[in-house]
Amino acid sequence: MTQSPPGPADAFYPRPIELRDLHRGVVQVRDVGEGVEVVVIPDGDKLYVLREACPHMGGPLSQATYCRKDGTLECPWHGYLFDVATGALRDNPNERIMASLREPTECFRPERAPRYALTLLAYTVIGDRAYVSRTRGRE
Amino acid sequence: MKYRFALEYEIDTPLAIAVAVYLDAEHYVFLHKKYSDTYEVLWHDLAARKIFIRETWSLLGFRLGQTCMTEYIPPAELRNYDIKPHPWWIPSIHHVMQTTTRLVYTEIPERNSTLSTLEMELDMPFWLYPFRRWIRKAIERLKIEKDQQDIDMIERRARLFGRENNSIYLADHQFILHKQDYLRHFGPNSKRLTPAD
Repeated sequence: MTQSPPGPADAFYPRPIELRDLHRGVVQVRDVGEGVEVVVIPDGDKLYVLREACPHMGGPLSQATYCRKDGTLECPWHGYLFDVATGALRDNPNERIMASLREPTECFRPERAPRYALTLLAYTVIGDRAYVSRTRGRE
Repeated sequence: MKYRFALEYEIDTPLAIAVAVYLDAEHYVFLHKKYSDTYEVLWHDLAARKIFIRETWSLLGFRLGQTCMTEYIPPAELRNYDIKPHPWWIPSIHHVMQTTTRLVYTEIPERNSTLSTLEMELDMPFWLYPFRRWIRKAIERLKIEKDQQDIDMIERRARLFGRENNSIYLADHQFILHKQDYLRHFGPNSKRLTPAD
């Protein structure tokens, strides 16, 4: 029997994620169709699906390091550390590494840093497939 | 005995991006962690655009590295010198060889790309001189590998945000080395100056 996503057909990307093919605790990338790749991290009974670009500079999150213990994802470009459950930036280690050089100046105002957050994608699981929504947020 | 050589190639990115990527020190120990995974500022004189740093890496369970003076000469020249091994007692070629590097980025206007020229001067004892070409190849290989990581980053950012988009490096909150100088030369109100100016 063919499984199809619920609701309007255009609410989801056309290609579902095959859950059986996923490896627990490992950062994986999946093509969900229309040239869109998403990062998928299955961990226990949770599944995180997120945009493949770091919100800081667009780093390839498919190459990010996932820490199961802390539930964090480290961008390979600048080491920004994100909470995969909420998407929120948890740490910028460069604030410590470059501490002595990061004195605020007229052209460097760290207090104006945006609240960087991963783009978490909503999805709906039907059978062994997860259909990724075009909207943000988890279901 | 002095041995000089240069490594030159074109990077398919505007000059403003090439310089920004070099000054974006926050990526050094993450994107290039294969080569060094710690970066410490030991001393700096930002008015003189000089930063004395220590970089280390792990080899066979030991942590070793080097200290180095880095200097930025706006708009697009970067120098490294006074390279010493760390800790001081480890066997290292830097005990017997003085290394000075001068990296200059030059705009190629017809393609809006950048010529990268690395000039190296190795001051070595006579007994090391016969190995100079082997040392040169090792240095060139390292430089090309690290540059390729930067080029991959540049190309991905160009696909995502546009080839000439350096807005993140100009943003108030974003830290890059010598930002005031960078803005003066590559910011929205910049006037391109030569070092002589």
